[in-house]
Amino acid sequence: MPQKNDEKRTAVDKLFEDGLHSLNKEHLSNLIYTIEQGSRSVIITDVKGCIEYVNPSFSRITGYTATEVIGKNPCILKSGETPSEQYRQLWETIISGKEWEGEFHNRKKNGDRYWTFATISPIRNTEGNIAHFIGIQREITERKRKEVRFSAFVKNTADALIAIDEQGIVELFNPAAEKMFRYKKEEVLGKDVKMLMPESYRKKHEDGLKRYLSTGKASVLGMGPVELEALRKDGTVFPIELTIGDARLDEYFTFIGIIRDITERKWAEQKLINSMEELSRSNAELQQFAYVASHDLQEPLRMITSYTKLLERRYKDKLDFNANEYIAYAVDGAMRMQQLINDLLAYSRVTSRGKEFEPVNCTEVLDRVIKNLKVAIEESNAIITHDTLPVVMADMSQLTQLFQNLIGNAVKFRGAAPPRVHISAEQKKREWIFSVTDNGIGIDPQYYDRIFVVFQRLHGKEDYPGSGIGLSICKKIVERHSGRIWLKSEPGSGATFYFSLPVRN
Amino acid sequence: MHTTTNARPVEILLVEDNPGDVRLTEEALKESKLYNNLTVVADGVEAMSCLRKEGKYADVPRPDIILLDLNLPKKDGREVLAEIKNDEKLKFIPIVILTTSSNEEDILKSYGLHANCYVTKPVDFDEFIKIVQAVHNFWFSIVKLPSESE
Repeated sequence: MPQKNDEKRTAVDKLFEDGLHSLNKEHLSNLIYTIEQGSRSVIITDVKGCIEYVNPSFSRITGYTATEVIGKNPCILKSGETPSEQYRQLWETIISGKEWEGEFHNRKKNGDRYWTFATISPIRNTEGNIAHFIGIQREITERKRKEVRFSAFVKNTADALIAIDEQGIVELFNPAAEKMFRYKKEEVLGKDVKMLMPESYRKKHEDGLKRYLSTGKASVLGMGPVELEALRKDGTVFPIELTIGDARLDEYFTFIGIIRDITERKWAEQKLINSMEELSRSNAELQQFAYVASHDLQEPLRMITSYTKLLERRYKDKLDFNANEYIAYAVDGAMRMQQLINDLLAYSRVTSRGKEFEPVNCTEVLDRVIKNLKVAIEESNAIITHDTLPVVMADMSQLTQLFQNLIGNAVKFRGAAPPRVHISAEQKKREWIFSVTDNGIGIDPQYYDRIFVVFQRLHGKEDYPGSGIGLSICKKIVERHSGRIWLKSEPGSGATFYFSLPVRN
Repeated sequence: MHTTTNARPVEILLVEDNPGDVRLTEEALKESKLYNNLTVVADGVEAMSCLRKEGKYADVPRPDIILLDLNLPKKDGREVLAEIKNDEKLKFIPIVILTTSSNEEDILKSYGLHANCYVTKPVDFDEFIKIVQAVHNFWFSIVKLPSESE
């Protein structure tokens, strides 16, 4: 393209004529080489802004050949998104002989948009008049993308982001910070960050900053979040979680603070602490109640039974039949009350007297239970069988009580045939499922939930004695071992009680 | 039933604050036909005064056995027990803890303080009589105790 070469020569000649006379030919060829080969786009215009020269990088970036743009105004590159005010300022600056620097949002020949950072300088001729303008541009689209990405983080995060310089002067204050501290950005930028701290933290902050600057050591840096308090514009103090980071670029320091308002969390924590305290208070009260029941409640009860008995012993002959019957009822009532108190105590002791879990061999437990129930088993001609049973982590005496209550029930609630009870265990995932199956009278499904409630009974005392505490104790024991208890039954054809215990290593 | 060789009554010190229980013990002793002399004090401070023959207790003979309730006013049964068992002159006297409590901790603590036995008061009066009888038989017929002269 001879024409292009001509233009190039013309432009360089002009440069030379206009004031680069101190350069020799070698310098010049170096300069030309730099411009022609360099990655920056170079445009030279006349004083009216008509393009006289563009380098190959210009063509590479914009897609326009030199021929296409020579004689045109650089405004062909306008994307329409750089504010016209900026162009006005640009012209004002360069016409007055100064250099202008700034960003342009431009459009390539194919319509793609790109960002450049431009330095535009006037070039004077030997008379000192402005003869040309030279624009040197660097494409910064990739950097702009990083910037918008970064600023999207800063704008959209729910955490307040604040950057300060080494003097503690605020350099960045994001929208979340505005919301959290109730200051507008303009009210904080350029001010000391101490304005966001309650008085009691300011000295520590100053000392920390000083120490960091002199020693490079900081107690809060890289420590992960620390819990502090912050000060709002309206003077209210609120709890925060602060993470501090630092960045250096040569002589430049910045500290960034990531601040999370933890008012809600603190409130929830306090609420949790309160409920825990409430819980331990009510647990202590329950313990106290258990002791009262075991001692103080029984004493008056013992007085009632003892003295009615004494009355009976000493005056039986002097009283009539009715009086003796009344005494019998009084004694029976007091005895039952005693039983209820003892049952409640046994129920409450499942948790209050629970022992540490240890490996327990269920087969051994079962042998012991069968011994304990020897009389009932022999009287009813019951046959108890079992599969191989595992070793589990449990409170040995509670597991014994659990099996004893379930097997005892299976024997007690028998039908006409001698009781047959079978115990088995099966591992399902992370649980052992135990089952105690009987051939007894069974339970109507509508009562499945009720039978586990304290003192709920399904039968008259004459048919099946007992206070109705057994299964509630079973449930409490199983739950203390993080298991569940349930049953399947059909009235008249037996019942199977299941309970689960976690498999532990 | 009384089988001690000399015919003096068994000296019993009952430390009990509940009049109902005091009366019951008296009745039970009566029914068991034990030859006894019962001294009753209602709190732990009185019990210690009595054992040390202080003031009005100067003439009370040293008991052969102490029936001690745990929950007492002023100085409770556990303190009384500890004090007696730490007293060179008194620690030989058998102490029967006679209480309503069937609390495991109370039982452990009592034996830890060297109680000689721990009995939970039964609800049934017949049972109570049996216990009084049994306690007497055990301590005065079966067990060999040091003679009083020491």
